[in-house]
Amino acid sequence: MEKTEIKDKLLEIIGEELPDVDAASVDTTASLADDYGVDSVSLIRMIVDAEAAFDVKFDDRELALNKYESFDDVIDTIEKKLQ
Amino acid sequence: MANKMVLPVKYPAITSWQWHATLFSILGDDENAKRWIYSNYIQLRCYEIPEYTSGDEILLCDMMPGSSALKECPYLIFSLITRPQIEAYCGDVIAFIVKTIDLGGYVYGAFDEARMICNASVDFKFSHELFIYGYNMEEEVFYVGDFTFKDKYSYTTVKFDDVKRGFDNLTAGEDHVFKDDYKGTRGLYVIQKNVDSRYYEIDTHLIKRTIEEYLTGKDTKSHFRMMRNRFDDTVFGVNVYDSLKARVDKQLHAEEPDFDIRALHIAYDHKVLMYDRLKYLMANEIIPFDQNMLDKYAEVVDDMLTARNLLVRISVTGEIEAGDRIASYLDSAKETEVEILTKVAEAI
Repeated sequence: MEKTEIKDKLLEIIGEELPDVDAASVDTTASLADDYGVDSVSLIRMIVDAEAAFDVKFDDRELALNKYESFDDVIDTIEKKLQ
Repeated sequence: MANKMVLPVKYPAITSWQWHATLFSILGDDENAKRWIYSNYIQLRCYEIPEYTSGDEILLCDMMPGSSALKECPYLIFSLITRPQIEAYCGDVIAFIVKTIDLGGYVYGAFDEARMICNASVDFKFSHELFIYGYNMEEEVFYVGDFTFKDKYSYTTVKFDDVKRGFDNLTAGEDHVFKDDYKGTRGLYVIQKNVDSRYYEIDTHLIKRTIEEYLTGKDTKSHFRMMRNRFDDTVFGVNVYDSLKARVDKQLHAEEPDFDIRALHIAYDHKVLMYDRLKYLMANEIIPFDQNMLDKYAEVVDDMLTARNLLVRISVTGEIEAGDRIASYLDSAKETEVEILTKVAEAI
Protein backbone atom coordinates (compact mmCIF):
# COMPACT_ATOMS: atom_id res chain seq x y z
CA MET A 1 0.00 0.00 0.00
CA GLU A 2 1.30 3.46 -0.93
CA LYS A 3 2.11 5.89 1.85
CA THR A 4 -0.45 8.40 0.53
CA GLU A 5 -3.12 5.71 0.74
CA ILE A 6 -2.14 4.98 4.36
CA LYS A 7 -2.29 8.70 5.10
CA ASP A 8 -5.76 9.10 3.56
CA LYS A 9 -7.14 6.15 5.51
CA LEU A 10 -5.59 7.41 8.73
CA LEU A 11 -7.10 10.86 8.17
CA GLU A 12 -10.52 9.19 7.95
CA ILE A 13 -9.85 7.55 11.32
CA ILE A 14 -8.67 10.87 12.77
CA GLY A 15 -11.93 12.43 11.60
CA GLU A 16 -13.90 9.77 13.46
CA GLU A 17 -11.87 9.64 16.66
CA LEU A 18 -11.00 13.33 17.01
CA PRO A 19 -14.23 15.16 16.22
CA ASP A 20 -12.70 18.53 17.15
CA VAL A 21 -10.03 18.14 14.46
CA ASP A 22 -10.71 19.03 10.83
CA ALA A 23 -9.16 15.98 9.17
CA ALA A 24 -8.98 17.73 5.78
CA SER A 25 -6.55 20.33 7.11
CA VAL A 26 -4.42 18.13 9.36
CA ASP A 27 -0.67 18.78 9.20
CA THR A 28 0.73 15.29 9.65
CA THR A 29 4.13 16.69 10.64
CA ALA A 30 2.73 18.73 13.55
CA SER A 31 2.82 17.60 17.18
CA LEU A 32 0.12 15.08 18.06
CA ALA A 33 -0.28 16.21 21.64
CA ASP A 34 0.49 19.93 21.45
CA ASP A 35 -1.20 20.81 18.15
CA TYR A 36 -4.08 18.34 18.04
CA GLY A 37 -4.69 17.50 21.71
CA VAL A 38 -4.18 13.79 21.19
CA ASP A 39 -3.95 12.00 24.56
CA SER A 40 -3.25 8.39 25.49
CA VAL A 41 -6.87 7.35 25.24
CA SER A 42 -7.57 8.97 21.86
CA LEU A 43 -4.30 7.58 20.46
CA ILE A 44 -5.22 4.05 21.54
CA ARG A 45 -8.68 4.40 19.99
CA MET A 46 -7.03 5.48 16.73
CA ILE A 47 -4.61 2.57 16.88
CA VAL A 48 -7.41 0.05 17.43
CA ASP A 49 -9.26 1.51 14.43
CA ALA A 50 -6.06 1.45 12.36
CA GLU A 51 -5.45 -2.21 13.22
CA ALA A 52 -8.85 -3.05 11.74
CA ALA A 53 -8.48 -0.76 8.74
CA PHE A 54 -4.99 -1.96 7.74
CA ASP A 55 -5.15 -5.51 9.13
CA VAL A 56 -2.02 -4.94 11.23
CA LYS A 57 -1.24 -5.44 14.90
CA PHE A 58 0.44 -2.92 17.23
CA ASP A 59 2.25 -4.52 20.14
CA ASP A 60 1.52 -3.40 23.69
CA ARG A 61 4.52 -1.10 23.92
CA GLU A 62 3.51 0.66 20.70
CA LEU A 63 0.40 2.02 22.43
CA ALA A 64 2.37 4.76 24.21
CA LEU A 65 1.84 8.36 23.15
CA ASN A 66 5.53 9.13 23.70
CA LYS A 67 6.44 6.81 20.80
CA TYR A 68 4.91 9.25 18.29
CA GLU A 69 5.75 12.91 17.76
CA SER A 70 3.37 13.39 14.84
CA PHE A 71 0.77 11.57 12.71
CA ASP A 72 3.60 10.90 10.27
CA ASP A 73 5.21 8.66 12.90
CA VAL A 74 1.97 6.67 13.13
CA ILE A 75 1.88 6.43 9.33
CA ASP A 76 5.50 5.23 9.26
CA THR A 77 4.74 2.57 11.86
CA ILE A 78 1.80 1.28 9.84
CA GLU A 79 3.87 1.34 6.63
CA LYS A 80 6.58 -0.81 8.26
CA LYS A 81 3.98 -3.30 9.44
CA LEU A 82 2.59 -3.60 5.92
CA GLN A 83 5.98 -4.31 4.34
CA MET B 1 -8.51 44.81 41.30
CA ALA B 2 -6.87 44.16 37.96
CA ASN B 3 -8.77 43.40 34.78
CA LYS B 4 -6.88 40.16 34.46
CA MET B 5 -4.63 38.28 36.85
CA VAL B 6 -3.11 34.87 36.20
CA LEU B 7 -0.81 33.32 38.80
CA PRO B 8 2.07 31.20 37.49
CA VAL B 9 1.47 27.50 36.84
CA LYS B 10 3.45 24.81 35.09
CA TYR B 11 1.80 21.74 33.56
CA PRO B 12 2.38 19.11 36.26
CA ALA B 13 4.61 16.05 35.96
CA ILE B 14 2.10 14.22 38.15
CA THR B 15 -1.56 14.33 37.15
CA SER B 16 -3.03 11.25 38.84
CA TRP B 17 -5.03 13.06 41.49
CA GLN B 18 -6.15 16.65 41.61
CA TRP B 19 -4.17 17.36 44.82
CA HIS B 20 -0.93 16.25 43.17
CA ALA B 21 -1.70 18.09 39.93
CA THR B 22 -2.37 21.24 41.99
CA LEU B 23 0.80 21.05 44.08
CA PHE B 24 2.99 20.30 41.08
CA SER B 25 1.25 23.03 39.04
CA ILE B 26 2.16 25.61 41.68
CA LEU B 27 5.65 24.45 42.57
CA GLY B 28 6.62 23.30 39.08
CA ASP B 29 10.36 23.18 38.66
CA ASP B 30 11.23 25.29 41.69
CA GLU B 31 14.67 24.22 42.90
CA ASN B 32 13.84 24.75 46.59
CA ALA B 33 10.61 22.78 46.34
CA LYS B 34 12.42 19.89 44.65
CA ARG B 35 14.32 19.27 47.90
CA TRP B 36 11.02 18.50 49.61
CA ILE B 37 9.37 16.75 46.65
CA TYR B 38 12.22 14.30 46.09
CA SER B 39 12.46 13.58 49.83
CA ASN B 40 8.80 12.57 49.73
CA TYR B 41 6.40 10.75 47.36
CA ILE B 42 8.46 7.55 47.75
CA GLN B 43 6.00 5.32 49.55
CA LEU B 44 3.02 3.96 47.63
CA ARG B 45 -0.12 2.67 49.34
CA CYS B 46 -3.59 1.46 48.46
CA TYR B 47 -6.83 0.35 50.02
CA GLU B 48 -10.34 -0.50 48.87
CA ILE B 49 -12.98 2.12 49.52
CA PRO B 50 -16.40 3.05 48.15
CA GLU B 51 -16.06 5.91 45.68
CA TYR B 52 -17.72 9.03 47.11
CA THR B 53 -19.52 9.86 43.86
CA SER B 54 -20.97 6.45 42.96
CA GLY B 55 -20.56 4.22 46.02
CA ASP B 56 -18.80 1.65 43.81
CA GLU B 57 -15.80 -0.04 45.38
CA ILE B 58 -12.48 1.20 44.00
CA LEU B 59 -8.85 0.53 44.78
CA LEU B 60 -7.64 3.90 46.00
CA CYS B 61 -3.95 4.02 45.27
CA ASP B 62 -1.78 7.00 46.11
CA MET B 63 1.68 8.11 47.04
CA MET B 64 2.63 9.46 50.45
CA PRO B 65 1.92 12.24 51.14
CA GLY B 66 -1.48 12.36 49.46
CA SER B 67 -3.93 15.24 49.61
CA SER B 68 -2.50 16.42 52.94
CA ALA B 69 0.57 17.68 51.05
CA LEU B 70 -1.31 20.86 50.14
CA LYS B 71 -1.52 21.62 53.87
CA GLU B 72 1.83 20.27 54.97
CA CYS B 73 4.32 21.09 52.21
CA PRO B 74 6.80 23.62 53.64
CA TYR B 75 6.93 25.44 50.31
CA LEU B 76 3.21 26.30 50.43
CA ILE B 77 1.31 28.52 52.85
CA PHE B 78 -2.10 27.01 53.46
CA SER B 79 -5.25 28.67 54.83
CA LEU B 80 -8.60 27.06 55.35
CA ILE B 81 -11.58 29.37 54.83
CA THR B 82 -15.11 28.28 55.69
CA ARG B 83 -18.15 29.29 53.70
CA PRO B 84 -19.46 31.61 56.46
CA GLN B 85 -16.07 33.36 56.42
CA ILE B 86 -16.20 33.73 52.64
CA GLU B 87 -19.67 35.26 52.81
CA ALA B 88 -18.81 37.53 55.75
CA TYR B 89 -15.57 38.79 54.20
CA CYS B 90 -16.63 39.21 50.57
CA GLY B 91 -20.34 38.62 50.12
CA ASP B 92 -19.99 35.83 47.61
CA VAL B 93 -17.56 33.27 46.32
CA ILE B 94 -16.68 35.10 43.07
CA ALA B 95 -15.50 38.22 44.89
CA PHE B 96 -13.63 36.06 47.37
CA ILE B 97 -11.73 34.15 44.66
CA VAL B 98 -10.86 37.36 42.77
CA LYS B 99 -9.53 39.04 45.93
CA THR B 100 -7.59 35.92 46.87
CA ILE B 101 -5.90 35.79 43.46
CA ASP B 102 -5.11 39.52 43.69
CA LEU B 103 -3.24 38.69 46.91
CA GLY B 104 -1.27 35.90 45.23
CA GLY B 105 -3.41 33.05 46.54
CA TYR B 106 -4.45 30.01 44.55
CA VAL B 107 -7.90 28.58 45.38
CA TYR B 108 -8.76 24.89 45.75
CA GLY B 109 -11.93 23.18 46.88
CA ALA B 110 -14.91 21.00 46.06
CA PHE B 111 -17.47 22.16 43.50
CA ASP B 112 -20.46 20.42 41.92
CA GLU B 113 -18.89 20.09 38.50
CA ALA B 114 -21.97 18.36 37.06
CA ARG B 115 -23.86 21.59 37.65
CA MET B 116 -20.97 23.60 36.24
CA ILE B 117 -21.05 21.66 32.96
CA CYS B 118 -24.82 21.50 32.63
CA ASN B 119 -27.10 24.08 34.23
CA ALA B 120 -30.08 21.79 34.30
CA SER B 121 -31.97 20.71 37.36
CA VAL B 122 -30.76 17.15 37.91
CA ASP B 123 -30.42 15.00 41.01
CA PHE B 124 -26.89 13.90 40.19
CA LYS B 125 -24.06 15.88 41.75
CA PHE B 126 -20.39 15.46 40.95
CA SER B 127 -18.36 16.85 43.80
CA HIS B 128 -14.83 17.35 42.52
CA GLU B 129 -11.87 19.51 43.45
CA LEU B 130 -11.29 22.58 41.30
CA PHE B 131 -7.97 24.44 41.20
CA ILE B 132 -8.31 28.15 40.35
CA TYR B 133 -5.26 30.23 39.47
CA GLY B 134 -6.50 33.32 37.64
CA TYR B 135 -9.36 35.48 36.44
CA ASN B 136 -10.37 37.77 33.57
CA MET B 137 -12.96 40.38 34.58
CA GLU B 138 -13.80 41.38 31.01
CA GLU B 139 -14.59 37.84 29.92
CA GLU B 140 -15.92 36.91 33.39
CA VAL B 141 -13.91 33.70 33.55
CA PHE B 142 -11.62 31.96 36.00
CA TYR B 143 -8.51 30.09 34.89
CA VAL B 144 -8.69 26.56 36.27
CA GLY B 145 -6.85 23.26 36.26
CA ASP B 146 -9.04 20.15 36.24
CA PHE B 147 -9.81 16.78 34.65
CA THR B 148 -13.52 17.34 34.13
CA PHE B 149 -13.75 19.91 31.36
CA LYS B 150 -11.55 18.06 28.87
CA ASP B 151 -10.59 14.40 28.68
CA LYS B 152 -7.35 14.83 30.62
CA TYR B 153 -5.84 17.21 33.15
CA SER B 154 -5.99 20.59 31.44
CA TYR B 155 -5.77 24.28 32.06
CA THR B 156 -8.90 25.97 30.79
CA THR B 157 -11.40 28.70 31.65
CA VAL B 158 -14.82 28.51 33.26
CA LYS B 159 -17.41 31.25 33.61
CA PHE B 160 -17.80 33.08 36.92
CA ASP B 161 -21.46 32.04 37.04
CA ASP B 162 -20.61 28.36 36.54
CA VAL B 163 -18.09 28.47 39.39
CA LYS B 164 -20.60 30.19 41.67
CA ARG B 165 -23.26 27.63 40.79
CA GLY B 166 -20.85 24.75 41.38
CA PHE B 167 -19.89 26.17 44.76
CA ASP B 168 -23.41 27.04 45.90
CA ASN B 169 -24.83 23.67 44.87
CA LEU B 170 -22.77 21.60 47.33
CA THR B 171 -23.84 21.36 50.95
CA ALA B 172 -21.40 20.92 53.81
CA GLY B 173 -21.95 17.16 53.92
CA GLU B 174 -21.27 16.88 50.19
CA ASP B 175 -17.95 18.72 50.34
CA HIS B 176 -15.68 15.69 50.42
CA VAL B 177 -12.57 17.86 50.81
CA PHE B 178 -13.82 19.30 54.08
CA LYS B 179 -16.23 16.80 55.55
CA ASP B 180 -13.78 14.18 56.81
CA ASP B 181 -11.21 16.43 58.38
CA TYR B 182 -13.21 19.50 59.35
CA LYS B 183 -16.32 18.13 60.96
CA GLY B 184 -18.76 18.67 58.15
CA THR B 185 -17.96 22.27 57.33
CA ARG B 186 -17.87 23.67 53.80
CA GLY B 187 -15.20 25.93 52.40
CA LEU B 188 -12.11 26.47 50.29
CA TYR B 189 -8.36 26.21 50.63
CA VAL B 190 -6.23 29.25 49.91
CA ILE B 191 -2.69 28.29 48.93
CA GLN B 192 0.30 30.59 48.47
CA LYS B 193 3.78 29.85 47.22
CA ASN B 194 6.51 30.01 49.83
CA VAL B 195 9.68 29.26 47.92
CA ASP B 196 12.00 32.21 48.51
CA SER B 197 14.02 30.50 51.23
CA ARG B 198 15.26 26.96 51.74
CA TYR B 199 12.83 25.79 54.37
CA TYR B 200 13.63 22.13 53.76
CA GLU B 201 16.84 20.37 52.77
CA ILE B 202 16.99 17.19 50.75
CA ASP B 203 16.57 14.52 53.44
CA THR B 204 18.76 11.52 52.67
CA HIS B 205 17.85 9.82 55.94
CA LEU B 206 14.14 10.03 55.08
CA ILE B 207 14.73 8.89 51.49
CA LYS B 208 16.72 5.85 52.58
CA ARG B 209 14.25 4.90 55.31
CA THR B 210 11.22 5.30 53.05
CA ILE B 211 12.79 3.29 50.22
CA GLU B 212 13.48 0.52 52.73
CA GLU B 213 9.87 0.72 53.91
CA TYR B 214 8.72 0.64 50.28
CA LEU B 215 10.80 -2.47 49.60
CA THR B 216 9.51 -4.31 52.68
CA GLY B 217 5.91 -3.10 52.39
CA LYS B 218 6.11 -1.57 55.86
CA ASP B 219 3.26 0.54 57.24
CA THR B 220 4.64 4.05 56.73
CA LYS B 221 1.38 5.53 58.00
CA SER B 222 2.26 4.28 61.47
CA HIS B 223 4.69 7.22 61.76
CA PHE B 224 1.71 9.58 61.67
CA ARG B 225 -0.73 7.81 64.00
CA MET B 226 -0.67 10.80 66.39
CA MET B 227 -2.54 12.77 63.68
CA ARG B 228 -4.48 10.18 61.68
CA ASN B 229 -5.41 6.56 62.31
CA ARG B 230 -8.60 6.02 60.36
CA PHE B 231 -7.58 3.15 58.10
CA ASP B 232 -5.79 -0.05 59.06
CA ASP B 233 -6.44 -1.96 55.85
CA THR B 234 -3.77 -0.26 53.76
CA VAL B 235 -1.24 -2.12 51.59
CA PHE B 236 2.18 -0.50 51.21
CA GLY B 237 5.16 -0.43 48.92
CA VAL B 238 5.94 -3.27 46.55
CA ASN B 239 2.92 -5.19 47.90
CA VAL B 240 0.81 -2.68 45.95
CA TYR B 241 1.77 -4.58 42.79
CA ASP B 242 -0.16 -7.62 44.08
CA SER B 243 -3.16 -5.45 44.93
CA LEU B 244 -3.08 -3.95 41.43
CA LYS B 245 -3.01 -7.40 39.83
CA ALA B 246 -5.88 -8.60 42.00
CA ARG B 247 -7.85 -5.43 41.25
CA VAL B 248 -7.38 -5.63 37.48
CA ASP B 249 -8.41 -9.29 37.52
CA LYS B 250 -11.48 -8.48 39.61
CA GLN B 251 -12.60 -5.52 37.51
CA LEU B 252 -12.11 -7.29 34.18
CA HIS B 253 -13.96 -10.41 35.30
CA ALA B 254 -16.88 -8.66 36.96
CA GLU B 255 -20.33 -9.30 35.51
CA GLU B 256 -20.08 -5.81 34.05
CA PRO B 257 -16.33 -5.25 33.48
CA ASP B 258 -14.92 -2.03 34.84
CA PHE B 259 -12.02 -0.29 33.10
CA ASP B 260 -11.03 2.24 35.76
CA ILE B 261 -7.33 2.96 35.09
CA ARG B 262 -6.71 5.32 38.03
CA ALA B 263 -4.85 2.88 40.27
CA LEU B 264 -2.52 1.87 37.42
CA HIS B 265 -2.05 5.51 36.46
CA ILE B 266 -0.92 6.62 39.92
CA ALA B 267 1.47 3.65 40.02
CA TYR B 268 2.85 4.83 36.67
CA ASP B 269 3.22 8.40 37.98
CA HIS B 270 5.07 6.98 40.98
CA LYS B 271 7.63 5.42 38.61
CA VAL B 272 7.97 8.64 36.59
CA LEU B 273 8.71 10.56 39.76
CA MET B 274 11.10 7.89 41.06
CA TYR B 275 13.03 8.03 37.79
CA ASP B 276 13.33 11.83 38.13
CA ARG B 277 14.37 11.36 41.77
CA LEU B 278 17.18 8.97 40.78
CA LYS B 279 18.48 11.53 38.27
CA TYR B 280 18.27 14.26 40.93
CA LEU B 281 20.12 12.16 43.51
CA MET B 282 22.83 11.41 40.96
CA ALA B 283 23.12 15.03 39.79
CA ASN B 284 23.54 16.12 43.41
CA GLU B 285 26.09 13.35 44.11
CA ILE B 286 23.94 11.73 46.79
CA ILE B 287 24.33 8.46 44.91
CA PRO B 288 26.96 7.78 42.22
CA PHE B 289 26.01 8.41 38.60
CA ASP B 290 25.02 5.12 36.99
CA GLN B 291 23.56 5.23 33.47
CA ASN B 292 22.82 1.51 33.58
CA MET B 293 20.69 2.04 36.68
CA LEU B 294 18.74 4.81 34.94
CA ASP B 295 18.24 2.69 31.86
CA LYS B 296 16.98 -0.23 33.94
CA TYR B 297 14.60 2.00 35.86
CA ALA B 298 13.33 3.42 32.57
CA GLU B 299 12.21 -0.16 31.82
CA VAL B 300 10.13 -0.09 35.03
CA VAL B 301 8.50 3.15 33.87
CA ASP B 302 7.81 1.60 30.48
CA ASP B 303 6.33 -1.57 31.99
CA MET B 304 3.91 0.49 34.10
CA LEU B 305 2.93 2.69 31.16
CA THR B 306 2.35 -0.40 29.03
CA ALA B 307 0.21 -2.00 31.74
CA ARG B 308 -1.93 1.15 32.00
CA ASN B 309 -2.25 1.54 28.24
CA LEU B 310 -3.19 -2.10 27.84
CA LEU B 311 -6.12 -1.60 30.22
CA VAL B 312 -7.22 1.35 28.07
CA ARG B 313 -6.94 -0.85 24.99
CA ILE B 314 -9.02 -3.59 26.62
CA SER B 315 -11.68 -0.97 27.42
CA VAL B 316 -11.88 -0.24 23.67
CA THR B 317 -11.63 -3.77 22.28
CA GLY B 318 -13.20 -5.81 25.07
CA GLU B 319 -10.37 -8.39 24.84
CA ILE B 320 -10.60 -9.36 28.51
CA GLU B 321 -8.07 -12.20 28.10
CA ALA B 322 -5.35 -9.59 27.44
CA GLY B 323 -5.57 -8.78 31.16
CA ASP B 324 -3.07 -11.60 31.77
CA ARG B 325 -0.44 -9.51 30.00
CA ILE B 326 -1.07 -6.63 32.41
CA ALA B 327 -0.14 -8.99 35.25
CA SER B 328 3.09 -9.96 33.49
CA TYR B 329 4.09 -6.29 32.99
CA LEU B 330 3.44 -5.65 36.68
CA ASP B 331 5.56 -8.68 37.66
CA SER B 332 8.38 -7.48 35.43
CA ALA B 333 8.23 -3.94 36.84
CA LYS B 334 8.26 -5.23 40.41
CA GLU B 335 11.27 -7.49 39.90
CA THR B 336 13.38 -4.79 38.24
CA GLU B 337 12.33 -2.07 40.66
CA VAL B 338 13.18 -4.15 43.74
CA GLU B 339 16.64 -4.86 42.27
CA ILE B 340 17.33 -1.18 41.57
CA LEU B 341 15.87 0.40 44.71
CA THR B 342 17.75 -2.10 46.87
CA LYS B 343 20.96 -0.78 45.33
CA VAL B 344 19.82 2.84 45.79
CA ALA B 345 19.05 2.31 49.49
CA GLU B 346 22.48 0.72 49.97
CA ALA B 347 24.18 3.59 48.14
CA ILE B 348 22.62 6.39 50.22
